[in-house]
Amino acid sequence: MRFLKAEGFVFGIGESGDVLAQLESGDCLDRNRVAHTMRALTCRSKEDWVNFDLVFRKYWFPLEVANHELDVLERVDSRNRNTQRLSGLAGASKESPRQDDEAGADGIGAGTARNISKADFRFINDKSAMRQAERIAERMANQLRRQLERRRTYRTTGVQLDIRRTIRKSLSTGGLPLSAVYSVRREKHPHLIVLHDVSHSMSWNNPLLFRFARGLIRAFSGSHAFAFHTKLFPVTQIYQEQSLSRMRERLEENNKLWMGGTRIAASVRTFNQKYSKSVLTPKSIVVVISDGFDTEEQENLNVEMNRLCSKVQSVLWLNPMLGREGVSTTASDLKRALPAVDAFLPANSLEGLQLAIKKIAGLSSL
Amino acid sequence: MSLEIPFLTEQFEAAGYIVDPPLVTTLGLMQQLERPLLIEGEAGVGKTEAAKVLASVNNAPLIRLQCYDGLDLSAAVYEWNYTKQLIAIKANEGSQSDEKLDVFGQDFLMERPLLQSIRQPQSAVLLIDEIDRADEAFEAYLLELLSDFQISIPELGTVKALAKPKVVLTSNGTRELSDALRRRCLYHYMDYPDLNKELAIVYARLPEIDKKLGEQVVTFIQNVRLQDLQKRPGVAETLDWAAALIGLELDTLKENIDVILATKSCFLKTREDVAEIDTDVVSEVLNAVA
Repeated sequence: MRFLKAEGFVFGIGESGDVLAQLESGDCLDRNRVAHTMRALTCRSKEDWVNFDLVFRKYWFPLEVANHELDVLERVDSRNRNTQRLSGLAGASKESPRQDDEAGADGIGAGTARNISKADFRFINDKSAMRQAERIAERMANQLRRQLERRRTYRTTGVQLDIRRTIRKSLSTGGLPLSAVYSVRREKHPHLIVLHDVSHSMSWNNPLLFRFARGLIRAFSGSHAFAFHTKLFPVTQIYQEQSLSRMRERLEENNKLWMGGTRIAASVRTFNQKYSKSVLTPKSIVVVISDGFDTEEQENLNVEMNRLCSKVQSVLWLNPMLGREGVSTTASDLKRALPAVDAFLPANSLEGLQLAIKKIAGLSSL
Repeated sequence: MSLEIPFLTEQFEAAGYIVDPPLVTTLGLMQQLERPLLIEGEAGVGKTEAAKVLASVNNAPLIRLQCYDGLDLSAAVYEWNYTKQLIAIKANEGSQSDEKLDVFGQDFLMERPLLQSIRQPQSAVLLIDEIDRADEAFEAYLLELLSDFQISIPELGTVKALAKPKVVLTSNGTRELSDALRRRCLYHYMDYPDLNKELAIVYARLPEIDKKLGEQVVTFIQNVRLQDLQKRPGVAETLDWAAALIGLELDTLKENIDVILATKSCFLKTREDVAEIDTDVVSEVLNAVA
């Protein structure tokens, strides 16, 4: 049991006691039965479940495992050789993930949410896991919408009578419904403006962030999306396409994506001058999805962001570089560089995107 | 008390559910230790069915709570019958009786699945289906039931289980469940069945199927699962497709690509997947079918 714990299994004294009791009971007369019993009592996730066999054999049959590990190494090696590059909406990225990190987010199917939620997008090489991560990213916005739509408030005036609350309230007046309670839906949907960086430096994570941005736009009507690299262009209608493949086609037809550098300051300037009057409201929440690599002077960006921030409720900057191992820049560093931005959030994993969703949910309640 | 694994296996197989040794051991432990069981796995691998068969072999009532986003206590645990309370108050107004009317008593309580399960005189099977779809707050509420088999109702106090229910929770893994919930449960991960097990399931559920066709269908589906699909076909889809082919009086898949293409909607559930499995892929997969 101590060996299992050392291998990362988490269980308590109760489980250890149960295992010993089962082993003593005489039910576990063969190796498989012992393994099945211990697995049922000590595993808590798919990851544990899948690893258990190897750990069990590693302890009881170390020689068998040594041979097995050789096989595994061979398999991993051949998989590395066949590693596919991350493909973007407009073709393959030129950036390949590091091979030594590849196993980080492997695994598909149930429990994947647990496996891939914390994984850096760069290291999700399994195609099915990647697809699932994309779907989860797009679904997040829908979940937020449902969560906001569920919020109801109760008033003494309204149209929809809440019979349950009315009757309950009438108990204090002996059953006479002197005051009615009405249920009113809180119609406070966020008005989102997404500014999405589609330059080359963002290509490695684009399918996921595209799905995330598309989810936001589709979930909240009245929201707008703009994509930018060296120039800015509106993409709201394209993001609202029902079919994902049609959306990809339209994006590729009209815009040269994932090519060249980024002019963030110039793009925000275009937005401020050309689109801000028609799309912004004082309650708008602007979501910038960008790694922040700009070919222009930092000061220009600061000026344009100040201008943008003065017109809206809040500006959130989702940066896929934040939270990455080996990147020393932190959200507070970025905040110092661009003080007008309300929050810098990591966009390198599903967990980071979930944080952004929570932030938007909080801002929507204000 | 023995786990009675062979006996349990026989019972499950007699009920038409092919059970593998890890699952039957876990089910045996669950009954012996009186602990809830969390089964995770992709949709269509037989998680819900396991709970139904468990109820059937124990001859116990199956109480099912289908979880969804927004599930609350009034739908899952209990609700007061406000209309009945109101009528009772009005009826009591003119009464000369000294007896105090208690509108928050048992008579006014409406039981929902969780409460219902712990108030059964005989141990029931409580199936909490797709727990990952419920809110985290609801998951937290379940902890008391899962560890102590009791429910606290503010107006009534704590209701303890008359007979501890056998609790089976299922999850498709669409979100991460809390460690607190996992800690209280035995765990089983249900993967897609291997060829032999799936074949046994098909023969058990569709005894009228031609042996050769059954083998071809199962091998075909096993190979389809290796393709890059959004939603891989589960056992339920295999059975649906096999039943459809029986209905079409097909005796072999070979040289029947048209029929496969026409019926692929039985096992493919998204537009992208339907497009992915085209004539070329079907031909390729058919080559793998013995």
